[in-house]
Amino acid sequence: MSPFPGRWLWVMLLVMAVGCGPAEVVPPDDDDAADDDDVADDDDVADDDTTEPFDCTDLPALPPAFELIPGFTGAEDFAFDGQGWVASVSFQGNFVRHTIDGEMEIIKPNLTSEAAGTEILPGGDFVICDVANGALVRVTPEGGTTTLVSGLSYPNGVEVGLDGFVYVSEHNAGRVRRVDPDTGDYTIIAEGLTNPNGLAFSPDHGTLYVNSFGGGTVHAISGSGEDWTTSLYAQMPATPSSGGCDGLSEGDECFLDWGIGLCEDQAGEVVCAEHLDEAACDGLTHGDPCVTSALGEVVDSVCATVGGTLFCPKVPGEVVQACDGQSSGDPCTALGITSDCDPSWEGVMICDVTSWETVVFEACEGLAEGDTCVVVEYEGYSGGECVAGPGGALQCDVEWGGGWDGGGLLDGLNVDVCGNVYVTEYVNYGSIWRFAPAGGDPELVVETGSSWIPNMKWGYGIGGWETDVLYVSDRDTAGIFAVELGIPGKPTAFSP
Amino acid sequence: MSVDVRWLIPLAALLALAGCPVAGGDDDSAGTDDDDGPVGDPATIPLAGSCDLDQRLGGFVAEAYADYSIVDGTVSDGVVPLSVLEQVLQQGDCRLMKRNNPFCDPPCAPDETCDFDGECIPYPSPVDLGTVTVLGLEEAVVMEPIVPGYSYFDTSLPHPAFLPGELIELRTSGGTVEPFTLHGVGVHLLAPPVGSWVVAEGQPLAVTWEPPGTDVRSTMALTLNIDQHGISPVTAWCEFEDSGSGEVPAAVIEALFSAGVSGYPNGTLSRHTVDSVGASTACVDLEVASPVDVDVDVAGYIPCKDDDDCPDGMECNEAIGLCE
Repeated sequence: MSPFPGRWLWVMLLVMAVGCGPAEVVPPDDDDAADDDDVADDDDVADDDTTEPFDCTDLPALPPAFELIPGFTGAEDFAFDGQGWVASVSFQGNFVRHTIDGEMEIIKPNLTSEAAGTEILPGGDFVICDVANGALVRVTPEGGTTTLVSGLSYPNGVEVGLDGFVYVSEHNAGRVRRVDPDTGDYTIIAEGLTNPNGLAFSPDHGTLYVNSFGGGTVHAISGSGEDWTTSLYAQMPATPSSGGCDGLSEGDECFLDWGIGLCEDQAGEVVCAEHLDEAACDGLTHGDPCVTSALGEVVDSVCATVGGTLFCPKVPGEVVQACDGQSSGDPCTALGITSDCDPSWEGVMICDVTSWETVVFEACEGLAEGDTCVVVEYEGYSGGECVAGPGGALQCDVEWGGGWDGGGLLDGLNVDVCGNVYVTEYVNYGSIWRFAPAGGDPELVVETGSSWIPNMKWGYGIGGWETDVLYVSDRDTAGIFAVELGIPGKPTAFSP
Repeated sequence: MSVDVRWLIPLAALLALAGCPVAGGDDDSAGTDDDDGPVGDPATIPLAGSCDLDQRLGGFVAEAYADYSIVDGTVSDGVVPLSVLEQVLQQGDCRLMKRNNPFCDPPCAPDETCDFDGECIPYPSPVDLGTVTVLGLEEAVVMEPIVPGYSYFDTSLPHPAFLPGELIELRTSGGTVEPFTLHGVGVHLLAPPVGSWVVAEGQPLAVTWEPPGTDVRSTMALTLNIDQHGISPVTAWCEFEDSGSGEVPAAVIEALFSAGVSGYPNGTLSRHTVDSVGASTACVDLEVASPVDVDVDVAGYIPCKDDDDCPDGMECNEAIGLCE
């Protein structure tokens, strides 16, 4: 990719040419706490003296104006540095930085073949999720690299606390770690999450928010030392594209866009709400046989625990047992089929033995062309209309479901100075949603039209990157959306 | 998971690199002179190809992109299990490679990583190669390690850094491992293909590029990924003759679709030569390349908001936001 031919700024960043010696290596120490160099002190942390007072009772109206700034890397994430450049890992794996006008410098070539979360430490070093090697890597502005912690299972989101510690979500392991930026020592502060992705602190850094890619939830993590708690902060509402509860009564099964819910009366309106069958596991424990139902059919399953909730999954027990204690992608065998473990639409790890090529035809067995059909996969549900496919066999032409349009694929997350939580949604028109500090249903901020807007940051007010504009990475165009919110971001550990 | 790997390579194996009787090391046809650059015939210099993933301790690249050139490399004392992709299909010139997810419970220590047996093993450490010299480029490059990390790179090269057909030689000296030498041959700059690749389920993908002419040492490497957000994404890797065209077989495309479609699809082409040096358990390589990115559209999975977003002949299914 060559976003700005002829506009490269060739600056020697590094001591790397003939006759130049290596810099001093500072070994990690054994101290539990991050070193002073990496822990933000009063001078490093953006404080009230440098933040314009903002009236959180009078937020600018939505939707805000936005524009696409072209010419970056299309990276999963990025970080602003202290000189007004934006640093990110290019598609080729080079860790580079750009000005808003498109000038580019290479910080470290070939850092990794696949990167995700990218942040900056109080002292100016970067921390980057190295997906290809399952590691969290620290990179100096001169290109020196240290693997802080390895053995991570799809490290995805990263955040830096005011204490300088690094927080990283492991998408495939369902957990969040707090990592010492000098020693790599870590504490697991949350487990049992479904595909944790974006991470960001509240304005006082007392709460760490993490969203779920596929679960549609935002959880709040708080605590210190070894004592951390996780609670559900908010979740995306069920979307009506599958019909919701039209024509149904309270207690009837209904379709969410990714699974089966129950119609509930909420403030006089019958809506399709998420429902886990906890009652079927009353008095039982994890792994005990249980009986529930799905679409009117009896399902023999086993009790499973997800996020502290014990319930009876609406899938056969064998596919649950085959992946008990396993991770996403682990091989498994159930119902005579070998496959991989994946989270189901209820968040429980299951052996994904359904085949799309089969279930789209099964969905129209006994139906006529034009009939409504429902495709049942253990990962989720979708539906549409039976149509004649190649060879004349009826197959379900899917028009809803699969989670793709269901508001569940949350990707990036950040927090403004007022404590409002912003999430980006994968595929669904490039939507950005905003939850109020107290939670509840989100409001739509903007639809960018992109298929993939994985992360977002506020500027530091230098290099043309404004403090009250939310910058959103766009993988479709390798650009950055500038969303003119008119609201600053929360305080960050790094301060230019 | 059937990858049989001796994950952590004893440093002794790395120390023995230079002693291995493997193409890529010095031989009679490629004598070198410390002052005058590489000596040898670029038309016949042995090039051993890439390291196997389960033996690759690292390597170097000399790459010319559209607007800049770099030399870069790192060598470690072991192999990261996660980086060893599983070959799940091979057909024609193409392979389908899957990234598996090792999992350890309890999690490993910070300086460890997880292998596919669920065991924690030491995370490989980068090694000090001393001074790395690359000759045969437009300007000779001499690199000392960047610390921390013992990585080597130079991003201030003239562009393009090499001329087609020129012999390139990389040699190390003075590090904690025995010196080794690798070779490459300058390749013609690759022009980005016009338009995007449209990948359709069950259909072969024909790709073309401007051929460099005859008697070249280069081959064309292709990668294609349509499952960027997958849990265990698979990627098609192909290695074609540098003749101007190649085809990703329908079976490979079908397998890609079966593995999942998510995220923003992408592809690359890279005209390159590759040399390697190593023994049965440790290998280091040098790639001289001109890579380009290629836009990829997946038929049936093109995001849209209305018909204007879709290619000719397709309409936007607004209910699911995909062109059909």
